[in-house]
Amino acid sequence: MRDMELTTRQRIGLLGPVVKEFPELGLRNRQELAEWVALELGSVDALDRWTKRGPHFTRARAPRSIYHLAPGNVAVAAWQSILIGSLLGAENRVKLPRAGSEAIRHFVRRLPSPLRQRVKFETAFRPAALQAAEAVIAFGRDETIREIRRQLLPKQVFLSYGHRVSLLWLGRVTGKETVLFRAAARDIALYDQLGCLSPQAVYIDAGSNLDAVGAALAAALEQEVPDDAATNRLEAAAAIRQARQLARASGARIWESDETLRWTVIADPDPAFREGCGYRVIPVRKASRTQLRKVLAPLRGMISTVGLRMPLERADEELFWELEAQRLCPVGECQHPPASWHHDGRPRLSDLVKWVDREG
Amino acid sequence: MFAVKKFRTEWMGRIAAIRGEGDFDRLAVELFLWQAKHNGAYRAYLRNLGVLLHTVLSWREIPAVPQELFKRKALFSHRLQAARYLYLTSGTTTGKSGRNRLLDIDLYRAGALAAVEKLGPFANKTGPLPLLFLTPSPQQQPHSSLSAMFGFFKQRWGAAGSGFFVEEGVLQLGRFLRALEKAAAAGKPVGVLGTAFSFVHLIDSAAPRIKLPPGSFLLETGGFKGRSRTVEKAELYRALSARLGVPASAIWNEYGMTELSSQAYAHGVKGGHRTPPWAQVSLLDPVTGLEAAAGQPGLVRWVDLANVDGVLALETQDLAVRAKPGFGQPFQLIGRLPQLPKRGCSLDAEELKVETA
Repeated sequence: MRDMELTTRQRIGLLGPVVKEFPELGLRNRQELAEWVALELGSVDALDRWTKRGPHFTRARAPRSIYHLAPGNVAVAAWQSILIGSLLGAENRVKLPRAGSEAIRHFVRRLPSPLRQRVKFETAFRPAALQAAEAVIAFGRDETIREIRRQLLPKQVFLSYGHRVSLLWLGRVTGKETVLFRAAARDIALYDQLGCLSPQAVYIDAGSNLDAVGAALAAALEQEVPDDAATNRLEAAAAIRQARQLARASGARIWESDETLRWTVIADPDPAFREGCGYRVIPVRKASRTQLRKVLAPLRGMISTVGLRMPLERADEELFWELEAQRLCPVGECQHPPASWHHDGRPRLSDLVKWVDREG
Repeated sequence: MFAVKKFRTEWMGRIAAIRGEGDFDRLAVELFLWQAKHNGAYRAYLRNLGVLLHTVLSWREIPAVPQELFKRKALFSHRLQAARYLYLTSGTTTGKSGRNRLLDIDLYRAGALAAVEKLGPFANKTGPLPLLFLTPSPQQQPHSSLSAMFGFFKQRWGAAGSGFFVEEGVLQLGRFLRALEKAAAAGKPVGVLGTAFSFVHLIDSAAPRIKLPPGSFLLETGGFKGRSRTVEKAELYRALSARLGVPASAIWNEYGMTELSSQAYAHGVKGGHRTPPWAQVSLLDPVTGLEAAAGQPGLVRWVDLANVDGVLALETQDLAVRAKPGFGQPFQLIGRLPQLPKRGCSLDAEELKVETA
């Protein structure tokens, strides 16, 4: 067998300790890995033997090789990509980002030897290597995705993850919901707020008290953001500084970490959605559901995750369904989707495999 | 007062006569107080910052507006309807242009000409010479402050054969090379001025090598966005030297921006940028909010006394470093801070293209 005689179950066996060591992957153990494969492919053995499907038999064929264009801003996305390739038994060629490659190398070093040997790094982009792979997984700006797509051959499978935004919708709040604001602060703080699942804005119902909410969120961020949050990098500091200046220029009220750039809360009087700068700079905006529908309409299809208060209200569910948001989750869980989630609306394993049918 | 032509002319004379930091402080505070009174958006900005105007005593204390604010507010010190000139930033990074309005171009023209004559490639030029511009003409692009400035240069120093060689966004390489060869054949100095990007096009083309006559110069502007500026600049200058036969010391960089009226100049690969007496640059450590220490990179913060119609103090997202602290000391431009990636997207198309090449 091409994957060094390893079956899916054997690969799952090897990956069990890895997912335990990297809880960011959203899987706790071998059983959850097996459940994920079974959920997406119908059976944990779908890649290894024929299974009955209606009047015939079918078997999944994983790509022999996957070219991963890894992101540098959120290492966990690259880990997920390599995990998927390893789980499917593919040869993995990883184009490392210019910055942030050490975390990716570290993850690969922790893979068991039979799987680690199937991961190769590339520090420079080579179209020949891209075209040699059966499948390609890429994270990038929309223009980058277009450029990659242009270079692919028609037979190649391509999973692309382009520009997406995430946000929190808390409904009517008073500022006294301490647990809720701590959860919101965790969503905002993780990964320097640079991931596609990182909320870029907090929306609250128009009837809420903006000042009270801003203060509550500020208090929560003070608790949740570590003292060593990376704000000493020039680009981070400059981005935070500019965001604060622009907020002040608009007359917005600001809460900020004392003498540091760890976090910033902006009571933004304009409900329009705008790109954030990351680094735990979070605007809070008031809007009714009707206004929210209007201000988020330009983002239709671009919204990755919406963190909401639970239990989910039907009106919210309908609102974000209409806005074509791809994931609704409890506040505090934005950064922790289950392994079985549909990334950018697509299944992560089954989109990579092809099926062979056997009749008679 | 800056609505009156006579006063504007007098002001240019006063700022051109600045002899030291004391002079600069006095005139900077005078202009700051005038703009704080007449520029509504700037006044609102100062109010929101809680600035007490009478406590500002030095140019270093004047609150600078972030460059990005020009995309959101009309930072103009006169009635909006009085603006006769509108210059737009390229907006290539965010897709949204910044806008700078001028009541008149008198100070922009006078300042640009005086600065380039004092600090730039025209410092030792005695007469007109052919000037070939790798940009659109001011007529083709009336909202480009760079084209306007090159128009001033052409008017002041351009000899027969001078012209603009970008039409509808396309470098007219054939026409440019013919003009360059003709000018070179005459054996007299030539000036070629354009964006760094247009010079890269020239290098990438199959154009033959030319040896420009001694005394010729190149002036590039527009910067090298993103990382490794020094390396890229060295490579560009080496390639230009080889292609056009001028020493690297005859290659100049102009550093200015649409939102301002003054420019800084440097020459050679390692030359530091110098500003004219009426414009100063301080470098700000974005982490501490204080002036960056000598040798440490900081954000470029301009105070430009020729920029009377907009705002005199501007904070950019450009990084520079200064070997020695002090008034009027040259600075080394590092380049623009890397643009933040959009959420979840760290790989940009440039990364693919650069590494493919």
